[in-house]
Amino acid sequence: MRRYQTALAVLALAFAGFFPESSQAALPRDGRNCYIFVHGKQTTNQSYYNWSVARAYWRDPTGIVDGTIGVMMAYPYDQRSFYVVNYNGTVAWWDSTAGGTVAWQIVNATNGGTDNGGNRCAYSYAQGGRFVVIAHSMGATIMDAILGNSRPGDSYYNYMGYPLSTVAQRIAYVISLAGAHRGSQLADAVCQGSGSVCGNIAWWVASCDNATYWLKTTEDVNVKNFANAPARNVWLIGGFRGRASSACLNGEDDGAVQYASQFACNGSATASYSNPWVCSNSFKQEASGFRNFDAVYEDHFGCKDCSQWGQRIAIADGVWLCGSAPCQPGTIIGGYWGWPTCSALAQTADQAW
Amino acid sequence: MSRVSLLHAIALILAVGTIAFSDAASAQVQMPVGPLPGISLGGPDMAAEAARDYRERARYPEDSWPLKAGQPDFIREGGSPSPRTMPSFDRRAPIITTWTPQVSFQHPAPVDLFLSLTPGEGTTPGAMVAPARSVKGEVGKWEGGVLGVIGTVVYHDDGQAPDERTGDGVYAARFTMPQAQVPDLTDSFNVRIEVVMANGEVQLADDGFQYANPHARLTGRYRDALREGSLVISAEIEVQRKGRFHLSGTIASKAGEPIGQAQTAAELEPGRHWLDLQFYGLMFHDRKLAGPYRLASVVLRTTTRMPGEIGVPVANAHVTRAYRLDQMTAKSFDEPNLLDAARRLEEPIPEAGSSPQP
Repeated sequence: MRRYQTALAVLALAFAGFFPESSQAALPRDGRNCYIFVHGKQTTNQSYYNWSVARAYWRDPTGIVDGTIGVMMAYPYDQRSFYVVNYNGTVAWWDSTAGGTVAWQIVNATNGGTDNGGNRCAYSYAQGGRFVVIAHSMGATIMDAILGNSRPGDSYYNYMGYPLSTVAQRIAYVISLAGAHRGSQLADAVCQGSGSVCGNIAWWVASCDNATYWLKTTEDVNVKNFANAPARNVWLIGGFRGRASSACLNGEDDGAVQYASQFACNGSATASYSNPWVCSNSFKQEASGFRNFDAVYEDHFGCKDCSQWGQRIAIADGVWLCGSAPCQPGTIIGGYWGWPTCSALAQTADQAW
Repeated sequence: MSRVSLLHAIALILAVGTIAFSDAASAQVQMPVGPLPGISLGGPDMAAEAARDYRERARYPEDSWPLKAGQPDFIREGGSPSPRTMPSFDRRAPIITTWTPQVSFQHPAPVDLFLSLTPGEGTTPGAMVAPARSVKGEVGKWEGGVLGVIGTVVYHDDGQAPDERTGDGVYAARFTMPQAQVPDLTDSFNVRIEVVMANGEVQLADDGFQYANPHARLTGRYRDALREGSLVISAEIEVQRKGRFHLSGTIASKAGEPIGQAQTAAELEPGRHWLDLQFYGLMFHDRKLAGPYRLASVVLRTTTRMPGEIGVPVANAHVTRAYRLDQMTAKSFDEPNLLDAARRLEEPIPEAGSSPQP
């Protein structure tokens, strides 16, 4: 049966001219790469006490693939290692059980320690390990807070003894998946209280708990006003597959976070951006550190658990090359099963080393 | 979404169908890869890109960085929030936009709140204003997971301060912080707004602001000097309570074009102190701009605890002497942390099979 399935899949690929290119077979195998996963907001604090909840966050609920982590590990043929951070996703991003915990766990990962499920990076920082943080939604907000307070002159440098400078020193960069860098308009709606249509639609964000309140789009709670430019690059991937809740979000969105926030834009957090003209690299919330990657037709969940594999498009100041030149914004990069959606993360990371 | 060709749709169905009947592990192995036909994609080399960025940034110290031509004065902008537009299910409904003149207000200043109503789609052609029957707000404080109301405001469009013009569709309200609610350092306040339109329909909106009781203030005294080829602007501050204080500023040409930014922070005891902002000399060479320079904006924040003060920027605080470009260093600073990060990203890939940690 297995042989039959394989043959059929190969036939399908051959039919479409999708055989893996030889250049991909030559991708470096480098066990020094380690992916550190930082989840987003939670409706309960279970992820803090139960690591398996944080681990499940990255699994495709349909069971077809093991989400982002699975793709990172399986594609193309690899020996990479990973580490799953778990923290309290119901508190403010600056809380000790959120930002503080994330910082300590990242340092533990780079020291060669195990996550709370027993996984460890194959190489420690001292042994030459290289660490890429994959942060989703509020996880990206937390990384902004950490990397923006890692230099001695920063507002909250190593706040409360958290090892923020060590995190910045040891990670290569961050990949932000649908990051809530400027908050979410759904959080605004939920915190408006009863009577808000959008607040009712956004039920799945749960109540206006501390995490939600500190993810509003008003600037008194925006991380940019409590952090400096990130000390390491943050590569921005935005989703644009809407949900019913999209009516409560301005411009393109993934059903939970509007583009202005996913792409860390300067100016209004509620500005309407649409494909492919998201804010450029010179119009970010900070003077440096935020870089556009691309946009993908996946919603807020699909982009982190790889359950959707939507179409990808090049955006202004994005990273894809068409031939030797940057792809024109709007160029459709792909959108078929396995290419290049989630696997793009793994592949580009591979090529990176 | 773009249309998918029949050829590829068939292939996709076959592939998905096959994978759907396999287990997860084999599904991963069998994932087809490759770009759309006709597009020759180059994989983004993020590490090389990041290494280039880090090398570029390493030309400057971590606490002094240049702004590219056209980049804004982030400190000044950060003090004035951009208006936020509320989403709506009904495109014909008036569009509600809210804003405050500052992100953070300092005790004992009152808080001014603004809201505009503009007509939605398909309303009277040429109409610029969508009249409201009433606009009210509840100011609430987030405490212990509950939003408690501490006061109410009524927005007016009658030309009375803080509103500027009668009937222009911009409504304004002024909120005076009750003495009992003045925070020890800062608090975040939420404004829940109810707009009753002329036709009786109700729409909700929100706003927010920080109210602060800073533990230190700028005295208004500044001085400038050259130190090892960099421009140092010192600001005097008066500390009321021991704590950590963060000072940042934007240096600009005399005409006001932003050139770069610098920051510093220190733990200080009560009393008067001078804090130094060092603008690394190279930034003036990069932009080919000689002095005098203008301290276009400066902001002092009490950051003893999180969430601390966002601060209120002071504009055009100081103008320096007429320094010449050749008095400024043109050398790269070679910031070691960033150079090390770049080196690690550029290291050659070791042979497969090199030993991992035990």
